[in-house]
Amino acid sequence: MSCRLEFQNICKRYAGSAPVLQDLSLTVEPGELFFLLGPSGCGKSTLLRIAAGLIEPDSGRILADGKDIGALPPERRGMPMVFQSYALWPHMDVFENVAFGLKIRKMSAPEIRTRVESILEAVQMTPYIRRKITALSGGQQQRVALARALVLDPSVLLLDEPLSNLDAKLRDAMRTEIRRICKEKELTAVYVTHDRREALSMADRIAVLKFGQVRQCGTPREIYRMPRDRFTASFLGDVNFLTGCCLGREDTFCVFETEVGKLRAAPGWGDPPAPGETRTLMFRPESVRFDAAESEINSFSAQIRESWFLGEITQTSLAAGSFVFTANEQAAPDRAHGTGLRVRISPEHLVVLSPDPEED
Amino acid sequence: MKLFLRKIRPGVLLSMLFLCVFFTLFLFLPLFTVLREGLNFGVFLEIFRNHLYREGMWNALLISLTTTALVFLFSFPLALLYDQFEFPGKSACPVLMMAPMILPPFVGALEFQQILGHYGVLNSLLALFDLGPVDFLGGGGRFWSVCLIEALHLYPIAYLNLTTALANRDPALDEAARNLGIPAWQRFLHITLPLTKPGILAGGSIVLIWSFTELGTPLMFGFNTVTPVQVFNGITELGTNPAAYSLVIVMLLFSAVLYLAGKFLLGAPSTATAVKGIAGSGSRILTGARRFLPGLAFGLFTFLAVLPHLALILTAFSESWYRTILPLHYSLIHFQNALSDKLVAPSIANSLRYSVAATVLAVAAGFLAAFLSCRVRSRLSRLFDLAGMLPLMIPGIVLAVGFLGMSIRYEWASLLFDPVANPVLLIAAAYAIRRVPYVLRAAASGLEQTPEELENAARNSGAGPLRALWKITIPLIAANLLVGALFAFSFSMMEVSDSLILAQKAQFYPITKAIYELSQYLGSGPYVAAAFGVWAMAFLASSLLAASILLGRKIGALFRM
Repeated sequence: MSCRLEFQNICKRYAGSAPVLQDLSLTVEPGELFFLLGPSGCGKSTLLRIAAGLIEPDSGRILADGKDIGALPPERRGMPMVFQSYALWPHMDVFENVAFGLKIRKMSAPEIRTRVESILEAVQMTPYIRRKITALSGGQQQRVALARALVLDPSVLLLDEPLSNLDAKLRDAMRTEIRRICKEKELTAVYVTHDRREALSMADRIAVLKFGQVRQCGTPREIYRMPRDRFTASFLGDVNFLTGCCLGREDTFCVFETEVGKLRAAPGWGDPPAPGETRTLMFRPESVRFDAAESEINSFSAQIRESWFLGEITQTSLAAGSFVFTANEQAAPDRAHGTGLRVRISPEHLVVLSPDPEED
Repeated sequence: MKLFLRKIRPGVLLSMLFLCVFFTLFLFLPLFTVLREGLNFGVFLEIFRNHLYREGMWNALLISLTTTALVFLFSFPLALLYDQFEFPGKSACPVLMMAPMILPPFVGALEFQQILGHYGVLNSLLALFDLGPVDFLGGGGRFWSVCLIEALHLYPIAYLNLTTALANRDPALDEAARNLGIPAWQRFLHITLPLTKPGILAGGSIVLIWSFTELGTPLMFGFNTVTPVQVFNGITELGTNPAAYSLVIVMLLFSAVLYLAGKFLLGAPSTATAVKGIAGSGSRILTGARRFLPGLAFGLFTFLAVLPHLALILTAFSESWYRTILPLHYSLIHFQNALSDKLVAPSIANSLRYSVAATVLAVAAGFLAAFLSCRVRSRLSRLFDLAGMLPLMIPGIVLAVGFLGMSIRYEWASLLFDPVANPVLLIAAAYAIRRVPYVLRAAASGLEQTPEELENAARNSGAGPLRALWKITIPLIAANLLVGALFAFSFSMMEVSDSLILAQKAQFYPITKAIYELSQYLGSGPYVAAAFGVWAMAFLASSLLAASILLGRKIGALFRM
């Protein structure tokens, strides 16, 4: 049932505004839970609506299993969408909302009933089958919206920030639920969000978008651990940046002269840095290891500036000369302000970034 | 253009074509005819030299300004009471406030004379105390009577707009002012009043233009030196004397100036009203005996406003009513006479025919213009929205004269809009074009409140554009469409200016013209007219009641366009 979805060189500009999508190309593999992640206005929802046929691109092609579907109206694309607002029809009850698409497809009444009941059971909404939409909570509405899309047995499911209106606890529960259903039904799903945690915890692959262009596409681990540029690195989570001058290579690592001394770093994406070239390096706060030995490579001295106990971790701000950075530590002992210690960042976790296409 | 035609859906293209034909035929061509025939410098000069015409314009302007001031004097306190307090009977207020609208003001004028006339109710009451008689309708009394009767008919329009503007403002703004220790009257002056500007402008401009161009009421009071009556009297010479056209152009210019002056004085709509409060309505619950005061105020005011209606009913049921506070003897004879009169039955059928046709046309044009404006959002579709709202600015009498002018000027129009042989399309079109704004705004407000996402979801579920429209959009805005249709139908049934001007043969008279003609009969004429007026009033009241039953608790929305 699942389908391969390709976006080829999609461009879109609304009248009187900057381009929303700029020559964007992407491929979503069959059965993949694919996330479009980016800040507001990056074009992710526009891309989803283009896939659904609700917006026409200025140029470019959309292929489903190799067939160009660009000319098909929304009703003939077979790509149901779960809207951010849920877009449930208030003049219909739960059953009627879910059954609408099946009625349009002229299915028999018994078959409609069977399918609606079955999908409502899957989303645990059976007790509310005759409930008015207005009498449902946000989470219940979200489930009905999902059921309305899933009941059509689609090959591609589109989800536009479906969890953004839910509280944190319900959001966590629904993440698991949506992923379970998508995987059970082997759906190709395109999911739009600006919530990195949602993307990292659910996605098979993520495309990070900015200004209508894909900045990086990969598995959650890839783009979190080895982001291509500063924007992707900081959008995916807390990060420390350090500038260094490349001295050359040692084994698989690049050696940089930085303000905290010589450091080895993983070369990252794109062209490897040439000797003498200045590049930005990045490491995540949780990659910092405290109390390293002086002899260890990639270690340097730092002083504690401030620390915050955040429950499962303690976040510490440190300074090594003028370089200020953040480190996260689990089960950290109490350390006084000004305490000197030696920290280490393993070369695998210190990543060389590609130069940004534009100044961030 | 090619790209536009390629991208546009056939349904949208057809809708645009329909609206182009509709507005050209029923709005722009009549206007063009008036301008073409009336833009004559010599005639203008003659009009402004003639002291009767000058007096007519001055009187029309004074009536308009006084009526508008009275309307706000009546409606603002009531709107504030409705907005600020929770009180017993509040849910009945919207219906109460609509009560005056079920009777055209000129019929009210007929009965106002029964109350204020030399031998009317008030003088009979004064006679009990050996006072009077007072000539209420003599001298300036006639002017004030016209203003009062028009204000009592039109205040619901201002009231509806004010309550909507008050409901749309963020209660937190008032709460913030209260929190800063600003006293109530200062809050009203500096917070509430500026935020209700859109409502004042919307209601005020309709009332201003309506009362400036009202024909029936001054005609009924015999107040002939006002421009609309002068135009009405000049209709018979339309083919030979262009004065009526030029007078109509003067009215059009005055209306535009009045509207622009209002807009200038009130400034741009406040952006703060666009932010709707999330803290609830902010209205206070009154306790003790005080909780009955707002309801009492509404009740008393409505009683005052429906006095002409009550007088109409009493007149209709009285054998005769002369020099007494109440009629001495009651009878059904006038109802029998009304039903047997050769004018009455055909006029009911005519009014129904014209109004149904007008409603169909107005709903079709209003809905399509609203849909194009809210959903297609091209420059062209915004033009349709503008064209649809234009009739609010253009006095009915202008268009009526324009239609007549078309039938005289163009041969094809004389076939289509023949006022003598078959005026059905002529009158229906004249009724319809002036009702389009009601349907348009009602439908647009429904469409604006209905997220487009709901239609997208239907398309996304497999429904085509027409099916999505039929299954999702129309059911969701059905109440709004019904409101628009109801307003279009009710106002068409009670339309005066177009009816008096365009229905020229007795067999084509609609209800209002029949009532006017009956009231001119000597002897029992006014009684028969009153009986017929009661029929008409009952008919309109029941149509409003039916709508309230149909809409259930949504009746409040019906009165908040």
